[in-house]
Amino acid sequence: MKIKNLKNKSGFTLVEILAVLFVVSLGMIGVLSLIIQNIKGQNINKNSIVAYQLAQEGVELVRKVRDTNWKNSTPFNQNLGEGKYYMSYSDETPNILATEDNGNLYKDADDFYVHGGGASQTNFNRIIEITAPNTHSIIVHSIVSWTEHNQDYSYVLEASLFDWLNP
Amino acid sequence: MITKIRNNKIIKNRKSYSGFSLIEVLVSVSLFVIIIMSATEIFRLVIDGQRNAIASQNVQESLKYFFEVTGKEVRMAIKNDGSCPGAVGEIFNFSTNSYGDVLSFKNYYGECVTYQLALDLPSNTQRFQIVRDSNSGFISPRKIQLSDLKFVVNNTGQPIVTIRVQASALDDSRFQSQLEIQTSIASRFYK
Repeated sequence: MKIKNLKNKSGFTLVEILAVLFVVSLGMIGVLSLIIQNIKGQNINKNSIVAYQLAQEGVELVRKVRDTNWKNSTPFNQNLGEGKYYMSYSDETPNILATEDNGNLYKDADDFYVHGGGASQTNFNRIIEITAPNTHSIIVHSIVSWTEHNQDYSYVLEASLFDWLNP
Repeated sequence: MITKIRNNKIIKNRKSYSGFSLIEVLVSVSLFVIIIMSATEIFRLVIDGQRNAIASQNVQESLKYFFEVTGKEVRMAIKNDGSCPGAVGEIFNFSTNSYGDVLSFKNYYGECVTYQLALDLPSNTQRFQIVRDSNSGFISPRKIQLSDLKFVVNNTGQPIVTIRVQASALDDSRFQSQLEIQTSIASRFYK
């Protein structure tokens, strides 16, 4: 009897095995894609933190120009007319953007992000856009864009600067 | 007689159990090995990826916090009237120590503040240290190594400070997740 029972036990059929493998791999793919997504998201996060700080720098540089104008008793929006600009941390006034490439950021010898210069290029680009809705204020858009895995990302920071101080 | 018959039976039964052939065993073992190896490799990759993601998150969080804390205080710094070390009449003072640049200024509450990197001995990590009057403390976590802290002070016109710092997780060299951040902060002091 025992021997007969053993002989009768049939294994899994090919279809059953395939079905099991399919279900298991489906689960695995789900988990894996979730984790890969997480890692990708982390990387985008990483670049957006850098981009945010660079965009903030753009706004602060324009603010410095306005405040310096106050100090020099010149019109608050001198050198800050409507248009597109690029400005490195060491610049005193913004430079007019001739082509989008002017906005490309490079690393200088001290590892600071600067525009132009023969140092190594990063994949960030910063353009400062100024609009003047009226005579006593300007709106600054600091746009930092970058490419990652052939996808374009950008971070835009907007600030309104007013002529509130009468020196 | 009886024993003979029994013996015959047993031998017959045994013969009917056929084992696997050498080729079958080889094929199944190699298939098993390939599947197990690829599965473990995938898991290893996934675990590495996760560790990397966690390290990267820690680095990001500590740098975010760093800029959150320093940004506000630097922005609201006031002119040094001589009560703090450094040049009188300037807002920001720049010097260096053995770990990088040092920025000192007088904060909004009149405390003399120094920003610098310092070595935390128990963990042997370079951490960001803030000194306010006689109090000092670290604001970057022990597991994050900060380096290349650089300040550029531009006193032409309205003073502006450019800050640059590099952070990496103190883990296996594969999971450092290095991050470099730069920003500038213009002073809000108008007198």
